[in-house]
Amino acid sequence: MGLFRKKKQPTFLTRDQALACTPVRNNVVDWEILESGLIQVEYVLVLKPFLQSIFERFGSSTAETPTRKIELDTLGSQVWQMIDGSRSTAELIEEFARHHKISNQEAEQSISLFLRELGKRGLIALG
Amino acid sequence: MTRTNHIRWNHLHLDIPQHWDVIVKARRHLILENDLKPIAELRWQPTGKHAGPLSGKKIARQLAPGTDCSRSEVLTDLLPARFRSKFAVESFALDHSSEDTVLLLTCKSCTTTLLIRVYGKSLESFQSHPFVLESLNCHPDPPESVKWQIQDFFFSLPEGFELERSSFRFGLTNLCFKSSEAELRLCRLAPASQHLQQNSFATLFQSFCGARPGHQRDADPSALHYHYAPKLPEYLWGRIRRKKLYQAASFTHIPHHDRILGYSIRSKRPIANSVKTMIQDGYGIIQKKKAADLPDA
Repeated sequence: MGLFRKKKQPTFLTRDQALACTPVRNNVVDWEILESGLIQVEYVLVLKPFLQSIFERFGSSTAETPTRKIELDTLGSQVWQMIDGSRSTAELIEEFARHHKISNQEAEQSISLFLRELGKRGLIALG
Repeated sequence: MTRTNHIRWNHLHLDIPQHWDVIVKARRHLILENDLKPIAELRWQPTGKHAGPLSGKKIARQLAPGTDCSRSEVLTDLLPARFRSKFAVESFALDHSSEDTVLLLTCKSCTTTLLIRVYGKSLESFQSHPFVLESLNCHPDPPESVKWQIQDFFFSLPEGFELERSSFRFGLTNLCFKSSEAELRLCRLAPASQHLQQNSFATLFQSFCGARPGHQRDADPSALHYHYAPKLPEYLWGRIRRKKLYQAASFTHIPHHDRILGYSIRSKRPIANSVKTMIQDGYGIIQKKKAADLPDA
């Protein structure tokens, strides 16, 4: 009875765990530095199974998988370049705070929100 | 010599080492951190704001909902003598995290209640920096000028203003204070250069305080001022609708700190020049000392 199966509660990382993790870029994602110095990221759109089946049924067989391009702002581009797999989230926050001469609290809020958005789109993973 | 930062937040004063961070969680709730790891959290309640003495259950409810708290032996040896002379100290242990130390303090002179939760073995940090507990002070400032200082900025408030809300988002710190007749907003934009790349100084000022372009007045290239006083019919109509129509606002760019500081005050009545001057002059960025001295031990 799949209908009544209890949904699994998503597991959330604690703050300590999240800070200890190392964000890693998804290798499949294409990105380039634009002339303006900003970063443009192109990634494959992950469709829900229902939409995927419609796309496969009605899309032409030669059609490419749908992709999306996003352009990061100045600060986002800086953080993207800092995500090289060698720094933990805590180190990213501290470096970002030091670079912009802001408090760790401000840096933590913005970077955690940014990483969460990137994670939702499958652009990064936490190692 | 440890470099120190002085914190003044909602009548609580203390010195912390410069490498520690302060996180503002609520109006009377601060968290002290080192390298993004919490060391201690402080909550306080001035006299007359709570029903009675705090019990173990009340403490546990505040610190960790769903658990209980039991009285434990006060670790008097670990606490500085000057600190013990200022506060009556009781010690508690949380049932679910026995490593944490909870100190319930009652100020002997102003009877303010303070609750300090020291995480894990962080009590050692307080032992190596005894000036943190020694400098802890909860006596209210004189009402005519209340001073605040947190992170890298400080400001003074006129009489009667209470903190309503605060936010410390990236690039924009917003503090809102209210008194019976007026509302005061303080903001700090950091880094200013990033903001100025995207918008002009005047546009930022306008979006901050809604200044009508004709009323903006620039004293020098790095400062903008705005003042608005309603005409009589508008004033009468505004009073019926209980609106705060009088407004004064200012925006100051401090290039060498890469910050923009702004304030906006809205009032039901005309805003006195002394109030504007006090806010304007008392709002600034802390100059980092080359070698800050420890307070006398």
